[in-house]
Amino acid sequence: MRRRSGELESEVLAALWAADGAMTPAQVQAELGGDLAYTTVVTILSRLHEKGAAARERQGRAYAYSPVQDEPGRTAGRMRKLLDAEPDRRLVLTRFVTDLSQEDEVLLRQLLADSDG
Amino acid sequence: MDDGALVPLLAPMLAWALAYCRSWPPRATSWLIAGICALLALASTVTLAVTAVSSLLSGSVLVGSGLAVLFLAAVCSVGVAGWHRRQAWRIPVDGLALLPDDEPVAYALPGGVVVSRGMVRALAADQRRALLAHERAHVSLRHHRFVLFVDLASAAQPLLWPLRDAVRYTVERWADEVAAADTGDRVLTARAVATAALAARHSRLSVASLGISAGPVPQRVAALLTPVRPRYRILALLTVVLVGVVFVEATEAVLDLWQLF
Repeated sequence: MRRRSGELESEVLAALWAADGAMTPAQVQAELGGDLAYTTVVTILSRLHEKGAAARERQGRAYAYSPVQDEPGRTAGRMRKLLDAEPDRRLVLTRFVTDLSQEDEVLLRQLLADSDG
Repeated sequence: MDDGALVPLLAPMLAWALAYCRSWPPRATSWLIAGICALLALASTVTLAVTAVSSLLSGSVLVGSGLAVLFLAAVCSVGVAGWHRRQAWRIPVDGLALLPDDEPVAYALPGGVVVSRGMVRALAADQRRALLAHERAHVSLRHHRFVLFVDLASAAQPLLWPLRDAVRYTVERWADEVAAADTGDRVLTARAVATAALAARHSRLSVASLGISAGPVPQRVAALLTPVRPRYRILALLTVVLVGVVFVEATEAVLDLWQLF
């Protein structure tokens, strides 16, 4: 599958945030799947470092990268506080998932189990 | 007041049918809902203004001023709704912003995507790709405008209220379909949506909500797990009928006024 560079950058950033500690390019490559070239991963990680979205430290021969709370994240955090005070925040945001009822949860678990087959 | 004027004012009740068309192709349905809402809200507001003026001119001051008040209320309510959205959308987010927050949330704003640490941790790497593709679709296809149009329309014409949830559902389905096409895997996308919803639920167990029928998330997951069956014919027919009726009646109301002068 073909992925554009902005999309790759987002995926790498999300992978750094999902990890417990700092990640080397090889670990990021393993996490995101084999179709990515090692050099591509290195390029994206150093771009994230230049932008201030990731910090890095030497770990043997390579750098290990960890996520940094950058300006967009701080803005989003401020906005979150603002929206928590907003009575109809459900209406303002296009959220990925909305709240589930008890029945929804049972149904979802069934659908997930069925899609396993 | 002429009976014909009731049609543009009450036509939104016909549009309620759209709120139940959840299995229709999401892209076409989103456009249809936004378009019909804009048209119906415009028609009912214009009709209010026209009948207010014609009532006043023909001497029925009470009816005329009542309608004029309704018209002003509609205009003010649109203004307030628009201002509200602007406030929330003014905060700039560009590309992807990550929140250092363990509650799993993800949402799209006009400029970019916000995802929390809790959300990226709840999903596997390939599911994260589906999530990001979904949110990017909201941004690049400008889904906030569809939602905005329907919200403004329902501010002007309260009978359109049920379509606000309908358009929110169809843009989610639309973004789900884009994510499924992007990742090339419907089941993966379905699992990403389901996993995210379940994670979000368990982070807030205190907020136990009760529902009678299946909510939007299981419907979206089920839709992704079923192959697509386009039903454009009923969709096209409904559009033509609705638009036709409203157009004819609105024109008639304007012509009635014209004849008064």
